Amino acid sequence: MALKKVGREEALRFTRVVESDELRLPGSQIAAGAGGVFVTFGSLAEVEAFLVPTTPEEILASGMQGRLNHLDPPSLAMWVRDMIGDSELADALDEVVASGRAFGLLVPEMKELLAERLAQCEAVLAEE
Amino acid sequence: MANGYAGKILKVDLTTKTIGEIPTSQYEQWGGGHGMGSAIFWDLCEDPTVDGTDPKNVVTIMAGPLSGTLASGAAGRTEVQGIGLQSMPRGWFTRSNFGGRFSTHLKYAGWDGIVILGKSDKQVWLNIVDGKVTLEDATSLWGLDTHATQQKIWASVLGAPPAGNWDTLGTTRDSGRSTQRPAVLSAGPNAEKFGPWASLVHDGGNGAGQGGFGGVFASKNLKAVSVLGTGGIEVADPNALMQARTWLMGYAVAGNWDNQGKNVAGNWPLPANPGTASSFPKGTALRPQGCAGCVRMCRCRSDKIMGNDSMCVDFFTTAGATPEVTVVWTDLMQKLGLNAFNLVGLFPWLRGLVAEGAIGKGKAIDSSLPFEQMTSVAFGVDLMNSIVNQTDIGKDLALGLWQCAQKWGRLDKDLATGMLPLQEWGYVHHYDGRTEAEWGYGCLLGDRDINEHDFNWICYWTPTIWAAYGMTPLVTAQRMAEIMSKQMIPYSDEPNLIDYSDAGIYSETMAKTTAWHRHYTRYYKQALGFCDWNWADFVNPYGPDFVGATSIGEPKFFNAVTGKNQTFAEGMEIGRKIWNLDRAVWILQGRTRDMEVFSDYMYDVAATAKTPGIPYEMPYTMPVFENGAWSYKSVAGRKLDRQKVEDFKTLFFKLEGWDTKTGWPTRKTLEDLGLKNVADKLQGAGKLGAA
Repeated sequence: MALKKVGREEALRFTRVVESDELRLPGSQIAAGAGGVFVTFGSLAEVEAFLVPTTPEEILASGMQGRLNHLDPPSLAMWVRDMIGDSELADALDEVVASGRAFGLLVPEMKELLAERLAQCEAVLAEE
Repeated sequence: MANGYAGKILKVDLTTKTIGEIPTSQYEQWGGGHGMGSAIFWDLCEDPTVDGTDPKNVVTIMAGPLSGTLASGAAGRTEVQGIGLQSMPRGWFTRSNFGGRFSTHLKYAGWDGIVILGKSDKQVWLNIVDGKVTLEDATSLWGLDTHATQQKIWASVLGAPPAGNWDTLGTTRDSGRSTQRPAVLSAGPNAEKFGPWASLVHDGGNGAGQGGFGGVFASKNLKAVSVLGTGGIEVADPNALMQARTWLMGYAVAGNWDNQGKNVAGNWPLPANPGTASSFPKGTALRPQGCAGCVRMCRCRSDKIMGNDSMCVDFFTTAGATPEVTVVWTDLMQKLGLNAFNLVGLFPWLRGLVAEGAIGKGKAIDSSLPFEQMTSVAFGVDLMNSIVNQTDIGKDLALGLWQCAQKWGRLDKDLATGMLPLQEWGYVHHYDGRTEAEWGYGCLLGDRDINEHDFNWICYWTPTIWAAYGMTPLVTAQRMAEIMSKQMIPYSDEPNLIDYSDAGIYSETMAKTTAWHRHYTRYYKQALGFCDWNWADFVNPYGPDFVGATSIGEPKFFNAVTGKNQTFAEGMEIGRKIWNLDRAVWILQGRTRDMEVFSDYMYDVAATAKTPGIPYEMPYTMPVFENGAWSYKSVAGRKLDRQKVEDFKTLFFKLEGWDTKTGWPTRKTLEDLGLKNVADKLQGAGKLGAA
């Protein structure tokens, strides 16, 4: 999905880091052997890096080192809209979520959308 | 003798510098490993109420009958036992375990285990080359890290530097030379100063992490144990052993090459496909590495010589740093001989303290560590060095996480919220007892975080991944329950053993599941050495009707090696006996029923993220039996009910034949297990359960 280009002001807003713990997006990082911990994200970049497209076969074949990086996709869309203020990206994420598929199957598309927005912002900010 | 045993156990008294031996036959009824270790501790520790640093503490380092053989996934583990330094409110008699090639060399040197008594007046290391055993001066090794210590010992035993060729150690061709370096088990630098954190490390990263046995070694003025064996182990029926291996191939990916693509890998994935590869930076050249005799090879060695042999939590799996950072931390952690689990629990606690503004330069907990860069190489390095050198907050952390929190006045508060994630006995929260009941109860009614993934793998992790990807499960929850009930001898008539529903976790059937797990792991894993990542094999994509190898496979290998004709049920009964003996030691150490409670957060805080406005539950999909039907369901977000946990304990104690008021075994239970002497001793101490 092609997102509209952003201006400098939007790029600055979309790439900012939410510092307040209360406003960060929760998720969890779970390892088969070690167990899971809650983690939180303060920026689109952190979320994009956290989302790892993989297959269940790959995770299970990794034995105790298998990992699942998990977040709640509807909450991500809401957070992008309310905390980051990027309603276009939020709409696009909502559209992905609306497919009703399981979390793991949404990861590649969610990651792609975030990466596209981040690349746009990076390009705009690099122009200065 | 051709039965898998070497025939003798080495007994070293560090106080008197006496080297002796115990005939293995004296303890053979206990199987090996943990069973023999517990029985020897019972016989030789004159006072189990002492602290772990007391010279009266007895440490056992045990192999098993399958060690050093070709028994699949059961040949390379070593069990360490003694009074530990990590648990609170006191150091319980506890255990740890490590892989590699130590137990193999021990067997090849002619020993089934090592018993260490007393305390040396000088710093020493123990040098075993076949039947020759000496205590060597360790003064120059004492401040060295675990890797440098091993290199020095290799050079000392073989001549510096080891050439990698045949080394002649004796007079005969087949029992006097080796291409191998000695297998060394070492404590970190000055480990007596950070005992509750101190692990024992062998080779690159095989660690006995939990329990603080590095600190116990150091308290005895023992730096390391080195063993080089040039002999072999005779098995009773080599043909049966090879047939067992071939049989097990039917359950492995490698034996089903043309039938891949099933949606669960099972316990026997392809060797040379190590899961730890994902923990290394991209572009690192890796080769698979495993314990002696293993067909799985779950670890790596890298071209950067970083993170070698490490696995799982060693890679700071939940600290949030990149592989480029964590591999450096991992390597340092292994060199310093620090317990990875303590570090993994420390990170979220520090994050919480930082968020509260409670720690940092000039704060209530004053520290110069760079908390603004907690995922940097520098932070982890500074943090670990501070613990080992007792600088900055490391002065307090070195006391242990629980003890440190107490000193900082944070213990009750942070255990109440779970910010300090110590689930029970001061051990770091691993898998969640609020959801995975048998894990939590196993820890609570034992001595430590159990770290046994038998149910965890197939009842939690696999269904959770199936659900996260919307997959059709390999088997329905009902079929999983049927398969596992059949394998869980002697409870095979009970259909609801894996019911993790809100009601199920407090039920009599969960008491049976918990008991089965305690007995199974005590014997098959910790006494015989079946590896946690291969066994138990409950549900298998390649097994007949998806039935895994467990309950058939374990005795098949054991009997082939020992020549015995033991059934799976007989092995389970030995596990129950070992579990009761361990229980008796804890009771002598002061264990009472009312001590067996989880930290407050397990009862008062749901296992959900606490970000206001954005509720979130970590995925936790498990089999449940509700309204007369089985399903896989998310059981996240659950708190435990105090009264129901107490009621569960009553059910469990009754099932085990223990006094429900005290949790102490009764004379009848102990005598039925052949433990009259244990009953007598408990009675003498006024701690025998009422009939």
